[in-house]
Amino acid sequence: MVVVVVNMIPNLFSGETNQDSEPNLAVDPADPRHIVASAFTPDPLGGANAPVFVSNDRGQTWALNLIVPSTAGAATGDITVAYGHDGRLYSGILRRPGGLRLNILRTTNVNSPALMTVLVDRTGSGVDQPYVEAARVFRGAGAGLDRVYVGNNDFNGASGRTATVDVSLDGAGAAPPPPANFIARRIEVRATGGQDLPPIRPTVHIDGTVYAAFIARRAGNTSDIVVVRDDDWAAGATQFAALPDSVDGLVGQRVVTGVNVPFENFQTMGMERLVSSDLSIAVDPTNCSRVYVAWGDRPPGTSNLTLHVRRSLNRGQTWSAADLRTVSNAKAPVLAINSRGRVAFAYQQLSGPASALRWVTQLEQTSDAFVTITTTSLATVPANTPTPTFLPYLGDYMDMKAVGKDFYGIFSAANTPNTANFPSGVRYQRNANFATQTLLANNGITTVPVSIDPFFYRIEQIAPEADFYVADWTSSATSFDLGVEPSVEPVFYAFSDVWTRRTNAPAGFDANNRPINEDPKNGIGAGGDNFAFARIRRRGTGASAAVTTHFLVSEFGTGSNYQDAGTAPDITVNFAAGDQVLTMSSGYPWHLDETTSNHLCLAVELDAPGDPIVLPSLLGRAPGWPTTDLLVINDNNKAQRNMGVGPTTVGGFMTRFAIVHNAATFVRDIVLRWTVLGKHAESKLDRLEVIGGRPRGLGIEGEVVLTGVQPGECRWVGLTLASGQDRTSSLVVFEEIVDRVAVNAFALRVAPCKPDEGGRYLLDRCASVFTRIGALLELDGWRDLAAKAGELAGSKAGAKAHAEFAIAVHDQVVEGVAHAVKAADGDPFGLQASARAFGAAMKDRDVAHRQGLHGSLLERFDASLTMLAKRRGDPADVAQNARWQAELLEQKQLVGMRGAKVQAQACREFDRLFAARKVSTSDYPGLVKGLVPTLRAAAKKLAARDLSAAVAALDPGSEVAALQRLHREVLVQLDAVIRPVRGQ
Amino acid sequence: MNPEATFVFEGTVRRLGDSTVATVQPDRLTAVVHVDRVLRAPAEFELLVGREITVLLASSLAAGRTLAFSTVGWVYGESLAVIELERESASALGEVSPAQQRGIAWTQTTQGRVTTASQIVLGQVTGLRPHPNAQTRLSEHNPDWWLADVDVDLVLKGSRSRGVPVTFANSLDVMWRMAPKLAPNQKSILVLHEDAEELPDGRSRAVLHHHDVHSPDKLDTIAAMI
Repeated sequence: MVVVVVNMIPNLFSGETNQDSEPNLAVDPADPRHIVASAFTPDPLGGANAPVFVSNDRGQTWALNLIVPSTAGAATGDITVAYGHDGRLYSGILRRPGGLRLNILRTTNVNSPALMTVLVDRTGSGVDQPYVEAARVFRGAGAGLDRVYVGNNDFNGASGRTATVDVSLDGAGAAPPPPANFIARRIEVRATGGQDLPPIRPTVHIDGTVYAAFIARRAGNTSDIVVVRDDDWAAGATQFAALPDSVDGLVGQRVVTGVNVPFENFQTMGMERLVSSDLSIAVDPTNCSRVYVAWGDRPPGTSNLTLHVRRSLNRGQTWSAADLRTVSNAKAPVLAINSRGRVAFAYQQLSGPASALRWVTQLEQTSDAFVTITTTSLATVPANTPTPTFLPYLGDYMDMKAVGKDFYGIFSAANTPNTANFPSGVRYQRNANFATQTLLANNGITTVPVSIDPFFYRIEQIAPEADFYVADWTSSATSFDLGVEPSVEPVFYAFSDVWTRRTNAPAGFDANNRPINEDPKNGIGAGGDNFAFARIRRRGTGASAAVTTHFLVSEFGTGSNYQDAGTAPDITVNFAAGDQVLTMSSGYPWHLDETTSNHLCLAVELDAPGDPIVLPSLLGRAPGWPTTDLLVINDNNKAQRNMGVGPTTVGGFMTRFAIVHNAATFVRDIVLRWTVLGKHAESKLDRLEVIGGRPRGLGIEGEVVLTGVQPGECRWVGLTLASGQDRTSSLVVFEEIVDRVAVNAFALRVAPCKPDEGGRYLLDRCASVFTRIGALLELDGWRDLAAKAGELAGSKAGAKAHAEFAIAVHDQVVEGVAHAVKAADGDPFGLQASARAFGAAMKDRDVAHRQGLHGSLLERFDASLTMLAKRRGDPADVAQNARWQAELLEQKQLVGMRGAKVQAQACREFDRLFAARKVSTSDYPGLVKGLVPTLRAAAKKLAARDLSAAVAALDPGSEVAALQRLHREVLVQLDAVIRPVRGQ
Repeated sequence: MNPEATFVFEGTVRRLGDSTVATVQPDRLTAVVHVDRVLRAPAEFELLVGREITVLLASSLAAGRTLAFSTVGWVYGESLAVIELERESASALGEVSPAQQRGIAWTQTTQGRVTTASQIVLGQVTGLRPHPNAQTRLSEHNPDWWLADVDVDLVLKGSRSRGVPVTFANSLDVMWRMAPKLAPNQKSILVLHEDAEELPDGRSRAVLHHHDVHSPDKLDTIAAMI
């Protein structure tokens, strides 16, 4: 762990003696080199505008930029800052001149000389303590918009219900005059003792969950700590109403009631005041249901403040009954949770004997709810030097942000240059002599009195040079993923730095500096050989390192479990000390056999010294299951690419199918939401098919629910999308929604092309699909047809050659269709109708339309074959079977049965070891063999005939795919008997 | 000199399209200017003489020119960047020192307060009490209005009275840090205003600005402004 502490006062300002208290911090989520901070700092020249502190190098150096409107010679009143997307900075201030005058401000460039734009300007009865947070909509409706939340104590609230959050659903689009598009949302519903207390603290998860905590003052001067929640960005008809209290049923869950939160606006704790402003809330970026809150109160018999930390694991409904952490004689609590779920808790504690009190700024980190704590002392300074020039002395609150794995924070403290005062080290920008412990003016000679300065700190879990990643997106040579966690671009699976080629060379990068992916081949021997590549980056340079790459594949769609791409050893990429980015020169060999579709997702996981993947691995899992953790975007060691998206001739249309697989271990309804991105003129050809249902229009967005999907069951959705007459790509993003959270996604893209390119692509598809027909339906002659198609696709042939080939083989294709329908015992994909449609149109002059129909036929055939293959079992699901099995054995009907506990544990262990690559599918028969006696006993105990039959058929000697299918049959029967209620 | 300018200096343009501050992207209106002489600035900025700073010019200017620049602050980092409001010939300004300029600024501000005052007295605080109409809401930024009972020795401006209750913000909060505080037995010249919006009632006479309370030795100075 690396700790960096920096005194933020610029060198030019070395003579300053201002009390720079109550600091706040904003970090650009897309580029953490860019940081903005604030404090009660005036213009050093005495001008009318107040500064923010700006750093463009991760907090190593700081400058003041005067962009906040204020009044001559004075700092602004309260000020907090937050970054949106694209470098937009939002700020909530108490504007001067004026009393309690709320301003909400925005700039698009913190380095600009222009003042921030005033978006909200409200006084009335007064508004206090604006506290701003912002987030970009990552997925779904409103994707890409800045959402801005400014907690404030608004005395304009009726009947003393003053707790308020000002909300903008489009911060970038907010335009004067005030209040632009901001709306003040009242979040207090209960009677108060005249008002709520000053702090109203929002925290935002990128899935749209917004929490806000506040201290509600009740009659009798006691207070409740209350948390409200909105599940959809506060964009619905009602806002912040999703969390009714479990006792009185009113909006807002009370974490604790009847506590004494003192309001003493005078020196009462050291030289600091206590004005009921000690409150913090943080949501886990990897799990929006996990939320922490910290507050300060004064327990009976104590004189100073005591801090408390509690946690909810169920979206704020219930909270830990007792404190997870209690700290006495402390104030200014602040919480943050990083991309690993690690919690940081910072505070300032009055410590030592009364004669030698010190303010100690502490940072605690925990990964196990404060059972074990790593403590870092950032500063320990005398509490009586300097004397205050105003209040707050250090600040009524301070700030900290999780930045991927790291924590960035800010505190104010006395600035005596004494190394003993900064146990974790410190660097001053201003002139200071640590030997004599004196501050020096700009001339380096004149002694400057001690004052309160802001200090930035950065806690790096991994040094930048050791933090390797694969970019989730690239827009250009200068605009790409910097390894931030979570990734900031919603479409992280289309332009990532993992790709495959048909030959062992990475090829170059396109004009946008993106890798050029090829559809993989499927076939016998070299006919199915492919090579996976990754471009690996790291966030800094300075040391050599060996990085191991591991490639995985899954079926195209959502919920399909990843499996190893191949059996060859992982490839290691060696970074020299000066290397920051390396592209694999030799690819990882992987093979697709004759039976497998090339519509796949490819993923890579990096493992470097000190920088492993975040467990669990993708292996044996689908992103989003069993938690809502978006495994790929929250771990920069992982990247994925959805493949099998080809070009479509301009004026035509494309049809594609995707698998929707239930990766959960219980029967559930799967909600699939789609959104069309990019320029797209709607066409009557556009439609969505749910196999087994009726086609429906696509529109711009929509939602479909697939009901009663068994664990491991696959359903299919098909998309037909017109390419239009222009060359603009359109993207349709499908998201799997669980409890309103998007846990997984895939995208289908129309990439318009000329007819010759479209023809070659379809010939290539013929090669792939015909290979599969021959192998899966065991029909003669198809390999030769596939070879011919592949030969034509690889030549200069174009639309004409494709048309001639398609006509020539059509009779044989129709014959193949008949075989496929017979094998599937039905025609859910509409193969026969599709073959007829193409047969009728195959000599049409409209090349684009003809190609569209042929493409549709090929994709339906491909999907049909995948469905047939899936019926035979799926090795990718063995770990899911193990998880499901463990869960069922732990149910109350079985848990006491002999062997159940042991076998459940064996299944859990298999799942864990499988993800760690310590066991593989070849070990699965052994697991099942061990299970059989217990399953027989279970069937007997439960007296379930179908279950008994399924267990009887379970032959551990079967090959893995078949064994997975047989085991799954047992699980389906067992689940039906012991968990008849869906979703339990 | 532009009256709005907080940093006025005589400087020589060294380079155009350049910057001394990393966060300032050079363009055709950014110039690196050598500070030859500081004319108006807080004392610590007098140390900039002899150093190069960045000026965002109001309009283009040739390198090598020496002028007096009236500016306001922009960026304070490893160097200073300022925004030009006005330029003029340095010789036109004559010999003025920053200390003189600060004195002029003090006089101008005080004059403004004196002119708008409803009453100016020399008196002594005999007692302090909370203002009966002060708000009771809980905000750390409450002014915490108090009344100081002042025995008047001399009325410099306004109606005659032997005593006057003077409202002042007793809060130590950052929003009120510049507002003068009154203490028992304090003897001062009090520049009283009645028209401030934030006052707790319409009858208050208050000291609100840090130029509203002066030591008795400033009597002649204040009297001369009336």
